[in-house]
Amino acid sequence: MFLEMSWLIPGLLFIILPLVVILEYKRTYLGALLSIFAGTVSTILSIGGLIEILSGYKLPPDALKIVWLKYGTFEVSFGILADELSMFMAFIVSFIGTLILIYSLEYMRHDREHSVWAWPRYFFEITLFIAFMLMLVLSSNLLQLLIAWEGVGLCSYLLIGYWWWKPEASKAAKKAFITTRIGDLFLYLATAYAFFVFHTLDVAKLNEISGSMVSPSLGIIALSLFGAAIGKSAQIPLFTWLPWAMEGPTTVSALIHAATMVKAGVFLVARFYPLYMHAPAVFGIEPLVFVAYIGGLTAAFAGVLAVFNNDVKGVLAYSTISHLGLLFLALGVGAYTAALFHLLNHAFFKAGLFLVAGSVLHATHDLRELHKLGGLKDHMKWTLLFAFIGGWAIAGFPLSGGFWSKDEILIETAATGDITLFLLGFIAAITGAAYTFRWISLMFYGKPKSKEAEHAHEANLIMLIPIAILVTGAILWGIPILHHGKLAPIGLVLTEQISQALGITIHAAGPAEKLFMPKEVIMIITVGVSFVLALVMFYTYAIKCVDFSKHRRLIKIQSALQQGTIIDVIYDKMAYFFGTRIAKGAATFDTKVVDAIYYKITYLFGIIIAKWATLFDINVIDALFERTPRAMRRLGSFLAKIQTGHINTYMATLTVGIIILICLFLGGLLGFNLVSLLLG
Amino acid sequence: MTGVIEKLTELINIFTARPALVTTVAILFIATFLCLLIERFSKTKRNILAFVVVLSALLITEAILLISPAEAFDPTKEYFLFDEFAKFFASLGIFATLIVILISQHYIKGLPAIPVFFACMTGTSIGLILLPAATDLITLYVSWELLSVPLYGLVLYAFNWRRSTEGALKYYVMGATSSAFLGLGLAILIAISGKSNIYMLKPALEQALESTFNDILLGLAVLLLVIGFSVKMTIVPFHSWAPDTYTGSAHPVTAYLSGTIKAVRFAALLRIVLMLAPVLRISAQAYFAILAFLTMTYANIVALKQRDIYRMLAYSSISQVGYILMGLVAGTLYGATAAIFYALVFAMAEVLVFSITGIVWKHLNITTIDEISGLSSRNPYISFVFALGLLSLLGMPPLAGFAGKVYLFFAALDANLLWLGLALVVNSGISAGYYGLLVKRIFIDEPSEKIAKIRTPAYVSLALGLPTLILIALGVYPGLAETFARAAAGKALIS
Repeated sequence: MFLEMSWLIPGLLFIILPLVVILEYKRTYLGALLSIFAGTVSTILSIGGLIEILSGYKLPPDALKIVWLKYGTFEVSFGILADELSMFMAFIVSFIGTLILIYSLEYMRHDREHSVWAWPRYFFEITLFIAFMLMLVLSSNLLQLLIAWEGVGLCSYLLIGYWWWKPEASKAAKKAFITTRIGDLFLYLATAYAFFVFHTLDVAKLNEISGSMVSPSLGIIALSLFGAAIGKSAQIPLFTWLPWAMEGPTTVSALIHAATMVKAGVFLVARFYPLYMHAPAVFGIEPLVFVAYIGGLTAAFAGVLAVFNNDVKGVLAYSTISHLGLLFLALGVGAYTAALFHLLNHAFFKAGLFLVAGSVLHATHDLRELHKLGGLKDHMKWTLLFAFIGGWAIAGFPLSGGFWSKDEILIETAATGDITLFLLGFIAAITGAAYTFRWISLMFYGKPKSKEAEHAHEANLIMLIPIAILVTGAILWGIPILHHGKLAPIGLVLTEQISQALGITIHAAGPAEKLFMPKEVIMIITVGVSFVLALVMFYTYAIKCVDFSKHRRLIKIQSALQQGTIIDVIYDKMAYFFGTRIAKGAATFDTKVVDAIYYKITYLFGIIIAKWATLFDINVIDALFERTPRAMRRLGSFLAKIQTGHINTYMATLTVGIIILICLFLGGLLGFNLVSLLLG
Repeated sequence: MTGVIEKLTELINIFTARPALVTTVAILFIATFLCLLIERFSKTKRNILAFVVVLSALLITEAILLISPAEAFDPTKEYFLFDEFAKFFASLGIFATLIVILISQHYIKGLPAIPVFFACMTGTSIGLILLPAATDLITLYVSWELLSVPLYGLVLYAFNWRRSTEGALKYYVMGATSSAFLGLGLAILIAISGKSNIYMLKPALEQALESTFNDILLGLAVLLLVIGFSVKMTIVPFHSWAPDTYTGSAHPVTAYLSGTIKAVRFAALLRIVLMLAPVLRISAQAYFAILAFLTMTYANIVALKQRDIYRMLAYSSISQVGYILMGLVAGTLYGATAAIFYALVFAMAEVLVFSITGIVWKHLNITTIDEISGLSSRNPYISFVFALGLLSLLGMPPLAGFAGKVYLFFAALDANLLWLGLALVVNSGISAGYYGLLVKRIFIDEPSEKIAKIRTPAYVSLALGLPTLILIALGVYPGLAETFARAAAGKALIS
């Protein structure tokens, strides 16, 4: 019953969009409430669908499909693929999305006074965002997925730049959009390639076909898909947009980082996992190993960056990158269940912590520097409590969902026998505890270091309840229950059922064989080190109250590491270098660095390139984009002269036409058959 | 005496077996007649009675056309046949007429001889029903002319005496010339084959073609037919009357003339050309391939230069015919389906954009694209609807124009006409130059001093909303009309 209605999960949100704008424009709260209502319905439908599908009820294939355009064998269709994975994702997206919508009611209240368009725009964009994400996870074919993917990208651009009166916001929005577009190109590539090789874009069929064939095409598709995932899920080397994306409202950050946009990349790999399992190496790159390494590197790198970050939301942003890396690592080593489980946990605790950050920022009027905060524990007791619970889960301490899923990922990574991967995962895991507790200590303990922090106030219930639900969820998924005679956490039982139903049962090459130390030892070491690090951070910043803003060297390291600096700078330089002045840039660089000969060669080289570029620019680009329209206009005005208004001229043109046709006719009779030539 | 009664009952039987055509034509005929009576006897100038009569007649007609099932008589024995093909085009034509009538009622307020205007409208709609139903060369010719004659009057119905007279005269002269060609072409066809029924032409011609003389004569006949059809279909280089006539007539008339009439005329073209295609050495499609390319390219390029909205849209309407012809050129079931689908979309979009041009001209006296800039600042609804019409003509997803162009493109590919398909794509690009400019002016640019709030009655908003809804619905789900278009195309392809 729920599965038949699953098209409503994204559909309802799309349908109500115009109403939301109209009602919000009239300055009633009805528009916002309507989108919350639609979100709730979607949540109920996806939970119902998930339960239904896990109890064994299945829809026939193509049951929820409409053909949009059909032409012979070529068809463009829209459909819902209601399987275990998509319903699981739909549940996460709709549930967290709805909670964030509720939270927005209070959080975005200031903006209501700022402009009449603020609320209509905000609720339109955020509802559309959730709708596109739901469409993405429920897509039954790659083309539809691509449309939703682009839609999500567009909405994230709009939402990051939502505070249009801030220049940084629009800059960040552009950065996010352009960076993710590089990844999007790979998705276009994958889609086109899949269509030409397999003549179908159906997700289920693609996965099915890939099981029965060995072809390097599979590897290329797998790598291209992962390329798209790198952009959307902010992995090395395309991760710099995510910290910048913090310029948007915190609710948007929560939505982007916890539930939706960045999960799209992980979802893409998980969706095509059967294809990945069979994909052979391309150019010596094994797709899954590649995924694991990129994920591992990102996880460790971003984890370290997060410890040195000095921004309330920046810490969480790097933490997100790190956790996404961990998810890719898990997928890469074959820990599918663990990846899904961690995805579930991460969605809850990260959304919760972002909303905590939101309520801190709300109380301190958007003061984002960590070293200016402090002492909030006296004013915001509930928020502190929730921050602790969320932090407990993100650090992977016992009794939380995060504990189980991190542990599972580390064990399975260790089981591949690859120590590098394991160490990368380990660093990501232990830094989690460090940055979280540094973050909490700096915000809530010590003395208030600014006026805003002194006059902070507790958030009201509309904001607190969603946080409470989210952090409770983060703990809840870790409560062990008896399942088949074994104690296992609820979340793991759920995700295990999902991956079994999907038929993905591979694990790393037999846990016991290559494991270089017992499971329990890994668990104890990880938790132990994390705990020690958390205590160190707590001691330094909460009890000793070290004011790191006075340590110059530390500040230097921090500012160097902030904003993903090094890579960001490289990108900027590269863009500058290649884009604007390749010739001049090369010339000046060489006068200072290399000797004269080398200088001259490079100079000449630069000039030639510049000349060629200019020639190309003038002759090709200009011709295409300026001269063609100009020529068209000129031709147009020439042709318009024929239109004299005199009927004799008209009869003359008619006669010309007749003569042309007669010539064609006579030509045909004489055997010179131009027209048949044209007709092929 | 008994003989006469038998003949009469036979006649009545024939009529009662074909209720759709008989009743609709009768209703429209009576409405025309009533309008003329009203004109003669009414005292007031602003006569609502004619409007009510015409509107109700057209509503009933449209209802009858939609609910009557398609007839399945043997087409070789019929003069008019209400099959799926006729049903599609007739209901399309009458629907567009309804919208034009609603717009006109608002537009022509205060002008003289309003009932005559409406009488001409209903007169034309009789042609709209009969032309796609004609299965005989002679009835087809008569319906073709039936569609033209009241239109001369409509074009003459002034909004600017000098230009209207000029436009009507040009239309008449060129139309008469084309009728001569068409008549001669049809006459030769009948003379060679000895049959006048379209569905009996093919076997008859195959037999006749054994002599070389007949072969050449047939080629000549097709040539004449192409010329005859091309003039009224505004195919380049036979289009020259069209910009003057379109911009010379009242806007609702152009809304009618530029879209609906051409779409229905295209139906006649489709029936004959597809039927003749297998017999011919150089088929009409070959001519139309070149003419389609010329039409779309020429009209789009000239439209780029226009600064007058009315004239720009007139050229755009010419270029659209080029797209429709592509489906005919392909000549397959896919091609015919695509062309029929696009004809529907095209008719709706043309009615929409010309009506709005008219309303904007009537209320604000706006004629150029510079004057219309910033229209959306005061008139969001009209601007929105206008933009949707323009973007559909441009072929922007998710509007119906896009779906139509996709069908046409694939139809061309399917028939190995890649160059024509590419011409479609390139031409859509060129046309973006003026459609896009117009949309930009309306929505983005600063308002000009002529912009003010336009107050229209509710029925005008309704009349504008209906085609917009169709454009959106068919864009979101083209299958709604595609199935009907396919059924219609199937009827035209039987041979």
